[in-house]
Amino acid sequence: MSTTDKKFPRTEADSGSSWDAIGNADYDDSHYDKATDLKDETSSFLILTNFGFTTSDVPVGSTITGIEVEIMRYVYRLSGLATVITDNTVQLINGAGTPVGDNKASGLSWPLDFASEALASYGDPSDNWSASLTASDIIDSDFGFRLAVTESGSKCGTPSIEYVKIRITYTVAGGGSIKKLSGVAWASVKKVLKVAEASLKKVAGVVAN
Amino acid sequence: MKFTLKTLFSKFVSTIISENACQGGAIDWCKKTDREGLTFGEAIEMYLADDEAKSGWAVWNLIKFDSDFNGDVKKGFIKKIKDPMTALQLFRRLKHLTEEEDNILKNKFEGKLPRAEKELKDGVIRREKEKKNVNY
Repeated sequence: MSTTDKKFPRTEADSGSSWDAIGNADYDDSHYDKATDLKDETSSFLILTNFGFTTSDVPVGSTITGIEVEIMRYVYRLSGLATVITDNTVQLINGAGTPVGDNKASGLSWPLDFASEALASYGDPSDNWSASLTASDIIDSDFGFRLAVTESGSKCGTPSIEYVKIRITYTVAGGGSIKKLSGVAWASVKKVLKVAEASLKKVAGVVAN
Repeated sequence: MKFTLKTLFSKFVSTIISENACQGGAIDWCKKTDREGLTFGEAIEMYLADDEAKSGWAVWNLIKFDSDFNGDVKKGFIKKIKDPMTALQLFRRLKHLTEEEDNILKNKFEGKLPRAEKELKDGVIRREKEKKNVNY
């Protein structure tokens, strides 16, 4: 099993008009993607793609076993407003640009205020999100994920995303089979050696007599 | 119960104005819709049929008037909720849902939000309805 580095998106888009600041989730630098003053509504999709994976990261023919997404985020609000922002949709996008697999949205509220900014993680090295992704999907510039959020506290809140990273875990094509073959081959070698040892002992006995 | 389907809609409109509902949003819609003798039930039917009317108003109403709506009014507003996560958040936050209302909301999100549903099941997120009242 192999794992890539965590990579940032290079392309960002808004499916509608909620995200009035985009293009900032590409680095850990205190610049934010924002959907200003959501209130009792669900945002449009923030679409993050082009994570820059290449065949050096994920060789062609590899099996994708896990996808991990990390989002560093908080909610900006006017002092004391009891806004409630939660994920609405956290879903992968395949190499054809189509949303696929599980919606990993969490029901937990996003942390309020900059001081509480925190990392949210989705998926793990053995979770493929039921997305049936291939290595070709991962290296495609359209691969990525989409995010929408919901405000349900009847108070204005501004979801703010500092950065997003994706990491892929995969097995190289044929890797598993080679290991099995090696085991079988090693057992055969041991068998041959045992037979040879027995034959040598026999020969040695004959010569001694 | 303060509000039923037979309540005059104008009574509800007065209430939401005093509760600071959105000027230009809910209040405009209500003023445009209200006429003499219009009942709350008739207004809800018009709201459900109006594709331009935002579902956020239903969320606001349900949270704000959780214990003041009778079951029919509550079910009327719940009909407007299509989004699974919004349904899950209402399921989580409303304290006064009946078992039937619980099930209506559950049907809107079950099987669609695997992580959030597991969080509910594991108690990572808790329902207001299930929190015990503590007297200090």
